[in-house]
Amino acid sequence: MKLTPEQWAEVNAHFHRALELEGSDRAAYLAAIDTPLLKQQVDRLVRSHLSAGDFLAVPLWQEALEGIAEPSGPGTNLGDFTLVRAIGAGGCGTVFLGKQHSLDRIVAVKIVPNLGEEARTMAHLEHPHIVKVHTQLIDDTRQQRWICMQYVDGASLDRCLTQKRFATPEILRMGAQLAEALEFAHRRGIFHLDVKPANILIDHQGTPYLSDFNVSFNTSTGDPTRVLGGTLKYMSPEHLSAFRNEGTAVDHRADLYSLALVIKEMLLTTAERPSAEVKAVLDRALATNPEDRFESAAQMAKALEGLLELLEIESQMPPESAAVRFANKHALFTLLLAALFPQLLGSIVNISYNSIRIVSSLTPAQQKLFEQLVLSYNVIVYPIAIAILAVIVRPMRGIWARPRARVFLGANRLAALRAHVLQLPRWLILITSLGWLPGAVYFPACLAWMAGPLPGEVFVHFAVSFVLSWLVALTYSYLGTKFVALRVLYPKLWTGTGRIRETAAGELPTHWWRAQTFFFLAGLVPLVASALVLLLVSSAPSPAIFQSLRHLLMFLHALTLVGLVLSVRATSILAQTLYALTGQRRATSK
Amino acid sequence: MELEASEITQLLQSYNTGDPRALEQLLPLIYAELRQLAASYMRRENSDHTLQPTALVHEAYFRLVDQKGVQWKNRAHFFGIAAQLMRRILIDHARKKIAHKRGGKDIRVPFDEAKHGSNSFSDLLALDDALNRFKELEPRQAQVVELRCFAGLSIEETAELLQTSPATVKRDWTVARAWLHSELQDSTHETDS
Repeated sequence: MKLTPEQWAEVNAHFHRALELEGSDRAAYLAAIDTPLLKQQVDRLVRSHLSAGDFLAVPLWQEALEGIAEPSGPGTNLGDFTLVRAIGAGGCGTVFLGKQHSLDRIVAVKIVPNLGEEARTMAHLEHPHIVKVHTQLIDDTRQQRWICMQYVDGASLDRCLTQKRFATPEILRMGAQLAEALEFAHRRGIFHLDVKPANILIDHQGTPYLSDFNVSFNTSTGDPTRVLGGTLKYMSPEHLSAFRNEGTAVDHRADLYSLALVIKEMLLTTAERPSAEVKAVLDRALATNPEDRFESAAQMAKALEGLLELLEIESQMPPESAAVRFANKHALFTLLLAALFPQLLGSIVNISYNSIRIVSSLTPAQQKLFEQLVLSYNVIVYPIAIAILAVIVRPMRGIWARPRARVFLGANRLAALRAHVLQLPRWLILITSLGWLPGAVYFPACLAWMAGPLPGEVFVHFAVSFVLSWLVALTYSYLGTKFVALRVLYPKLWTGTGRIRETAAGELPTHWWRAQTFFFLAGLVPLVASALVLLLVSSAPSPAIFQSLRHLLMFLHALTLVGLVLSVRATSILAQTLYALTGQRRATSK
Repeated sequence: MELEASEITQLLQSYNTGDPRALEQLLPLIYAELRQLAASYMRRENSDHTLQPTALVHEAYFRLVDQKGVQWKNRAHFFGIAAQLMRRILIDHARKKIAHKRGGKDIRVPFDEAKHGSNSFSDLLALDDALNRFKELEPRQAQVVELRCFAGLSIEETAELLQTSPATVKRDWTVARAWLHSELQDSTHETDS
């Protein structure tokens, strides 16, 4: 018969009062309870209390525990599987090397408490960089699950990090592969949410595998503001606040953040410092605000592949000579030098030729006027040429000093700059022509107009003098700027956006003929100039003129030699540069 | 353990705020931990090793729960759940042992094996039944028994967890013990007669 709570409370009260009394007092007290039911109950309890002895004096565990919880270990069988040896302890369970008898294969068995969706989640993710789940068993006695997975013969990344140095290209490749694995999961509505070195396996071939989806979150079933797992060290800011139950939602971009941290950690094992481009990509993935990160894992994978491509291109570039190193450091100065120094060579030819062939046939008044004209011409032409150059170089100012600035320009701006850089040599054709060719007409015309008649041959000599100087200045400034543009400037105007080679192949000139012509001219122009000078020199020069003539010829011969050597060197360096950039060998002539 | 500690704390908090889903997730985690701890206790090669369930539960608590983020109420919940689970582990085990002996090779088990020691398996099952009945009568006192017997808590600890005085717990314990004892005695007499 059952007592009501009130009756039980009364029984309790009587029971305790009775225990306070001794012997006959107690018997009298018990006898005095008037309700028979209560009396019987209290009586029974008191008797039971007195005879209970050490009943329940010790907790009930001692004997019963023997053998109760023999844990799973090597040799434990479940279904078709036997555990062989422990290979690691994960965040949420132990991992064993196991054997599946029916298929005679090695598997990894992860033993976890009997809850969660990890195996079901992973079973839906068949990807080359995600550990495959074969099956899941439930161990009733131990209330555990056995998740039987693909065995990756290697080690987890956190082990690798302590034992091994990775090379940057290897890191970027693995990063891109893991980002692809994440993209694959994200597309199926699954966020990993616990990307960290301990959850990445690397086999002996260096192939990375994403594992441990025990925290993962499925958009179709979960609430993105209530995420319970994760690892603080690798947690994105929004994941952390969701974890603290602050009502923020977590999405796929949390995984990008964690992956970037993992990549950063791997890069720390390399001796070299990451390049500005690498840092830019990582910083983007590590943005505090998810909106500022890559939109998807696919984009991040593409960026990492782009970095890899950049590195490959860099490694295939011709070795950096001292001159190229200098140019890399002082890019714009070198560019100006390459554009302006050849003009000086032109001036030397011009002045020498004029003094040999022209000045002597002028009247003293004309000579005086000529000196004034030279001054005025240079005062007008040089500033104009330098001003045009300044305008052309302007868009590139500030880009070279801070490599990071370049990375943040954005793909479109960089493409525009590359196009601009490739146009530089052509601008030099224009500037040099504007600087030199008008002189062929300006000087004789002014002389004839302002200081009386001029012999007809002087017109011819002015033409010859200026055309020769123009050719010298043009050839070397074109080649110089072309070299600086292709070898120094152009290769730096990339970020890791992927498909660099494809784009470069489209951007770079498909035919070589212009550069070829100029390389050819580098040797030919001074040679032809010296031949012309010899042909046109008067039969009996004065000793002073003879001296000038000798100097000019020596200068032109030296220029021929230097021009030939440099153009041969430059041709091979540029060919290698173009090959590195486009991945295509191109015929050097067409 | 960092991950799980914060996870379990979080789950306890959710359970506290009345999310039944949290309990479903908590039970297997705590269960696995207790089981593992119990096993490791048994393996310790100490001649006078005595398994103190209270030590076990405390250790599970320290291993599983993030101490910084925990509120007092979570702690009470944890011990409450742990005590229930310890009880379940023990009873399941007892059932299995009995089934094994009855259906296994050794059939000639003396019928009155129940009288071997005070804590033998049949006694355990009888106690479990009695405790279930007692719970219908007075749930609070039943919980005192659960915490004391299965989680091994002392009078003081139990009082602290239930936020009551040790004197009250002691009274509850005395009466509950007397009641359970008489129930078990009755059942043995019934089987004997």
